[in-house]
Amino acid sequence: MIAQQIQNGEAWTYVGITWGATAVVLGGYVLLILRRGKALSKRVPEDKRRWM
Amino acid sequence: MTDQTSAAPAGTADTAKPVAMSTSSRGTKALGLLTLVSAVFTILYSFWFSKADVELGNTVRILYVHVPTVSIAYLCMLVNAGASAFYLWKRTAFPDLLAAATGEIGVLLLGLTILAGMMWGKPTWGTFWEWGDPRLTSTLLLFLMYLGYVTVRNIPAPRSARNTRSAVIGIISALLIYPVKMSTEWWGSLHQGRTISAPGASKIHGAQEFALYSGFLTFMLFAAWLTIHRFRVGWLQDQADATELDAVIADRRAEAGAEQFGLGEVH
Repeated sequence: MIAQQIQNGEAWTYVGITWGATAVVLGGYVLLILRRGKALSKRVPEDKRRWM
Repeated sequence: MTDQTSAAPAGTADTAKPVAMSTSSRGTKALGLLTLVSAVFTILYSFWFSKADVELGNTVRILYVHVPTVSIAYLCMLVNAGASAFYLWKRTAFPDLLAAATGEIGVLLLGLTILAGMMWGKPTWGTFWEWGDPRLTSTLLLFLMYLGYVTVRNIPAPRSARNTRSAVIGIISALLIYPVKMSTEWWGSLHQGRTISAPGASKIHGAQEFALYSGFLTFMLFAAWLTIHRFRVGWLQDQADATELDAVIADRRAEAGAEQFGLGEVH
């Protein structure tokens, strides 16, 4: 049985890496986008900052 | 996610309306909150309500990330292809910026899909990667094509040329999605076939099925929220470039005018 081969501790390591990497990568990208947005907002005149 | 605002210049018609100093708006804040609530449900169902699978054990919890990320990555790529085609037809900024946003988010989600698949493969199949497997290699090829798309978008070039090149790459890359999706049925694969949309009945039930659907909703809301922000960043970038170009042109004109004036004095 596959379940017998997958030791609990080993499985949790891979589960942790998957969820952890997903949170870090997506969280990092979100921070990058929000910071870029803020920095760019300062370079653009106010009348061109309104959203379509 | 703070949203600083500043008042428009006095004397304009929009004096009372605050101007956003970030890419946030009331709509994105509401969508962001909804995404967070959905993410909490997904985490609760993935780790608390959904028990270890009879066959897969706790590795089933990897699938709550793997399956939704690949589905939403495909969705982003299809939107990218549609927007790219629309750009080639109309040549307007909106579809180009939408394509840029969805292409970047799509490649990010597909990269996480591949990583999650590798983390699932090791304890289940005994290997992180199998080069002979059609699903794995075709997914990697799709990932590399979209990585190429993002690279082309970032190579310095005249805007029109860059947009056209990336639109063509976006459309061609999307043609690979269907063969990747069908690879488990067309060719023999280590990778399992369809789980939810399997002919007959779904192979997943109860809390596991709910965790999976909750994951779909969370990643879809997240991708929508992120697409809006990424779209606005692209739009701001274009506005900043245009503003700076206008300023440089105005400076040059002023310099040219001054030189002409100076020569006139000599004569």
